[in-house]
Amino acid sequence: MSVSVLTKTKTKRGTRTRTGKKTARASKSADGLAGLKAAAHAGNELAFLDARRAIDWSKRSAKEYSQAVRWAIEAGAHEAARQLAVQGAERYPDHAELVKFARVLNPPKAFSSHLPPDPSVKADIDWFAKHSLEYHGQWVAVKNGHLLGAAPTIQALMEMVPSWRETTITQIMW
Amino acid sequence: MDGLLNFADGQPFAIGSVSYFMGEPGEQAAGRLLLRIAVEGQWLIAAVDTGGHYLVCQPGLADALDPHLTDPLEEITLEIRGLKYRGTLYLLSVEIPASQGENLVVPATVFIPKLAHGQVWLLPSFVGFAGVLDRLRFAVDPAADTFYFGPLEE
Repeated sequence: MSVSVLTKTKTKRGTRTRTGKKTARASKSADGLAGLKAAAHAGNELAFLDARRAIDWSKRSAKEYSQAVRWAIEAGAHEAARQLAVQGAERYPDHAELVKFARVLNPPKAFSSHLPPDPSVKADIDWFAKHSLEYHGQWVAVKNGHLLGAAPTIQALMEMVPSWRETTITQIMW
Repeated sequence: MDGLLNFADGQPFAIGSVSYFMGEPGEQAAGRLLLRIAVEGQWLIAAVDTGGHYLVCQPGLADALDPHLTDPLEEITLEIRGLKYRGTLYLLSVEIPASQGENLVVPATVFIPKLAHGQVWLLPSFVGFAGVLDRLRFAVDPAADTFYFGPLEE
């Protein structure tokens, strides 16, 4: 099993004996974090969740939380990544990276923009419902239910429709 | 705030609604609920994927969203429909427009893939549950092809 960065940190703090043997505590600790890393590299979400449960997170540093969030994402354990980010940011509110992880992975709730209804929505939806097969694979720009342009690439579409920012643009791939 | 759908105590569940479309059986869009949404003000079509994570944008949309992609979180690999894609996570503003009621703004976790050489993208954009739909209340009326939405808290 590969050894994590976190294990090296422990080693520097003298958790190994002079003969190089790990203490029982350091070994258990390292194994837990190494389990996260191995699960991440294998892309094994279930193994990551098992390894996470075996760790006493109350004793983990901000750096360890941050690394664990990265490994969780790598393992495909996205909900675990969110939970670790939120938990870590609550414990270490001054750690910029953890706070950023928490902000992005656990964004604020939705809110009303207090804007009036947009009648063009229905018109655009109707256009896509009727013409998707006809333009399948193309990038299209649609506004108020009218096609303004279609092209094989988004760059070509942007050149063809200078007002593309005011349109619904998408590649029809459904 | 008046609700289009309300709880039993009168509190609003949904403050807005919008039409969606789905393909007929046999078409590629069959079974997929497709909405018009805006990411940082740019309108696009995305398929609802309640089993997915994040808002996954079609890679080409990076060109359209470029001015807003200034604060990436992390380069990650995301498995989408059995294939692995490298890309970047961002926190961006997603708006769901109302054809009835009020629009809703959702600060959302957005994944923008960067295709490797030779890799192709044959999918729509996806609105996933974690990082987007779990930030709001929503309901679907299949009889009227209508998607209802509202904030989680007043």
